[in-house]
Amino acid sequence: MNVTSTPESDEETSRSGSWLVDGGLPSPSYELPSKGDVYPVEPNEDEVWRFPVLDPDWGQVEDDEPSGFRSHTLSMLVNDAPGVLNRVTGVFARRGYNIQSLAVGPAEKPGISRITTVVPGTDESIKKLLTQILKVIDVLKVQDLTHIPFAERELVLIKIAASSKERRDILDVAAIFRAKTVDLSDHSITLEMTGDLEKAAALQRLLQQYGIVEVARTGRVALVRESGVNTKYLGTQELVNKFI
Amino acid sequence: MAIPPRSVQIPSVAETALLSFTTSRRCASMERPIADFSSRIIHGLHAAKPISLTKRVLIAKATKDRGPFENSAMDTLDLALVPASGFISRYAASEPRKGSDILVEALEREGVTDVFAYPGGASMEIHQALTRSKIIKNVLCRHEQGEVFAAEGYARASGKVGVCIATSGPGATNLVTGLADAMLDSTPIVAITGQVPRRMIGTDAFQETPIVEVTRSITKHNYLVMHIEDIPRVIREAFYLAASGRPGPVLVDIPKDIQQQMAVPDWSHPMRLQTYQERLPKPPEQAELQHILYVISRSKKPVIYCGGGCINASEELKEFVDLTGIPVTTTLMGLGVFPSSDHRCLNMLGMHGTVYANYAIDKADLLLAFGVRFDDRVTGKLESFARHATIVHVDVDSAEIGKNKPVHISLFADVCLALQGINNLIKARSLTYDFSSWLDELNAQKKKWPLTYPDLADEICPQYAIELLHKVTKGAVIITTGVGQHQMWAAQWFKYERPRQWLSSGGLGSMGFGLPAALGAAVAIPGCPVIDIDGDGSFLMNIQELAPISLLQLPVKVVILNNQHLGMVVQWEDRFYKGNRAHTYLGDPRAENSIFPDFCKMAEGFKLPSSRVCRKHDLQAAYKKMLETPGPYLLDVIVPHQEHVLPMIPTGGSFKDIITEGDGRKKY
Repeated sequence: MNVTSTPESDEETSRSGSWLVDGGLPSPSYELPSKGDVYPVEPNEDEVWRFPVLDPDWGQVEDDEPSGFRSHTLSMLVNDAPGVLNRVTGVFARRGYNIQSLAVGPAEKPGISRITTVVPGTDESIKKLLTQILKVIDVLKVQDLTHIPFAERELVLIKIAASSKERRDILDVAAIFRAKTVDLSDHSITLEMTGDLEKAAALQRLLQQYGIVEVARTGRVALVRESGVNTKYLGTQELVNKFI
Repeated sequence: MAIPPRSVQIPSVAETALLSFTTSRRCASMERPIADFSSRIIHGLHAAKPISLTKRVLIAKATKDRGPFENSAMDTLDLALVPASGFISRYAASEPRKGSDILVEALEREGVTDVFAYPGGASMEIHQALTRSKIIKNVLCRHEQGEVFAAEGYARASGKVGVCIATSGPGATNLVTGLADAMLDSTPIVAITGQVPRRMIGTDAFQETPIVEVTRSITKHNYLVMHIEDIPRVIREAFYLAASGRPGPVLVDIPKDIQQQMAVPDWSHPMRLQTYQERLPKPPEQAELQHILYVISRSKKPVIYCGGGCINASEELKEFVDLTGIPVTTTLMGLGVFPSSDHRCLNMLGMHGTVYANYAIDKADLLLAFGVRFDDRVTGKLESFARHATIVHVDVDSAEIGKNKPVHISLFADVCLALQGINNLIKARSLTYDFSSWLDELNAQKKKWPLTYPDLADEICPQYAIELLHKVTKGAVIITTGVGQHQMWAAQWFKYERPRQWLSSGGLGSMGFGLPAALGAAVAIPGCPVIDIDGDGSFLMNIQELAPISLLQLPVKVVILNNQHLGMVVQWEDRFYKGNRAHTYLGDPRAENSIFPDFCKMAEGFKLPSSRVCRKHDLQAAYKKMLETPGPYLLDVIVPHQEHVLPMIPTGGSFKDIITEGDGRKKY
């Protein structure tokens, strides 16, 4: 049995001439909690819509933000039927959730598609989102991959402005990242690279100085790791220290 | 006047088993004598209590000699469309017929007897097919919004799935308000719309609207039929989705060339709703029910907060309250679920609920939330709603549990089955409870803060008008309302004894709901008088529905609480905007002493008897005349506009902010 006690006291109410049940008289500047609106008005209404959709700056909401607000990776299986994607993204729009990336493609069985999406939010709000998505008739299964080990990849095609002088340097960078060249012209190079978010961000940062003409990203695709190994921690110093 | 047994909305495969069951249920609910104010109320209000789909299937399974809680009923449900015993098609099995005839036969197989359809270019074929049907009758409303509200009134009053049919383009878009209303209030309706031929879809053709895209977020599900073979399966799925789990509106869009195409239907296609059925709630576990009983026995001040989700669980709820003695408060959608005459009933809670109901929630240490969604009109400030209470939430929609307010004990189950299980547990262990001190405390609050209204000499006080209406009709009528002050007074001052007696737009609050819903209810429950308590603003919005009411001579009485203003907005203007009138005067500003518009003259145009009453001492006689006139009647009751709906908790407020006095004559 919980008791969240609040400072309001429960004194006996008296039926005086005033129109407030607790017997108080309305003060001249009586402020209603809602400021007299049909809906309660909050001072920070724009916070809800603060985060950008499809953030172009490779922005992944940082994992260690104190409010617990982070990017969640969701994987869902849906029936392959016209309009299903519209239905699912409609739930996001209706309930006020942003989509940072979206990737759709056929899944294991014919007639079923897999949608992988990255959505910023707290654990609580994403849990509520999942219950709303499950109400869509065509959705078969939804899973939040964020807290379990998962493998994620993204395909990036980058077109960089490159004259023949810079070509060698760019191809060196590409070789280090194991990116392939898919197109070449006298003024540009197009590279293809697959990798996780950090690798893609690193490549783009390095190539920025040459001048990026166009970027096409597929968005994150992810599957659960059956091995259970969480690669996020593999490269950290702590683990290294453990073995020293 | 004998009424033929009502065909219940059921899956065809279990029909034989269920028909015998429902007949016996119908007899059981007829134990109360029929009110004697009018011999025209026959079995209307005592009609078969409609059973939720989960329960019906479980009952079917039980009659097949299997324990009712064995396995989930859903995954062994035979999904094939076996014709119900007794269904005889007009056509030979291999006779090709038009798509529209296939559609009409699919509706007949679902047990539909009344539809609300308005013809148009893209739905003409369906209307032609309806003329060939001997089972289905059409009620011609005069606006598609009227027909979708009528389908809602039909569904709310009878528990069956309401059906409305409209044409493409403007016809379909006029359904949008009704679909949104059905979505928010979880009313089972199926809307069928015509569409332009398939090859013209997407070309901005004449009267084309992408209604499936438009209504995607306001329907539970919708379909665009692209192959004629899909029609039997889609209609089957549409009715199933509309009625099962948390009910809701389903839209089916059928292009005209499919309506005209000839084909032989295959009725044996199974539904493709496997995962949906797996996600429906299972019968509750004994351990969960025992946990709830445990917290009840540990509590000193429990309160039941029930709403629209309990509409089919009224008897189980009454038994639960008899066994435990816990007081009950209902939301706007749940009025009638627990009889108001019972001493444990605390009437409505929320923004315009009674003081003692809100007091009970505020002081309670256990909140049993059955079939409710913690809407902002009820809770006000979420942090201070039931702040001392352990919250138990039982709901058929898992997305609602914990959506607004975190709950301590949640149960994802059909409320009816959960209450049945709890009642059985209490009886098996012969548990007794004593909350008499808590009930005494609440009774003291009832005496201290009753609902009141001022004594206005000879003017008719609207609250008095409704109180008197209840007395004169002895509460044995179906009430529908528009939206606004009259709706709140109808909720507060009319006492509801059984569910499906109060039909009102709660979640969406759409004006113009009253008259068409009364039409639908009168069609659903023939012979039972329906009273539409309306406001002058709301009534004018769908006044065209007087036409079908007059032509069919339905027993629909319209009581207009005419204050010449948009009452609820005027109340807010008085309280929070210093009485600045912003387009809320509905009368003629050049002739403020006359009544504008003249509803009695308009009723005369529709061949309806009507009268106007302005004085308090004339009211009783006017009501008597209204109720004794057979068929429809319109009564224009002139009331002052300075009255305010009280008590009131301003938005975002808590119990301590409750306002119990004041009206428009005072300056704020």
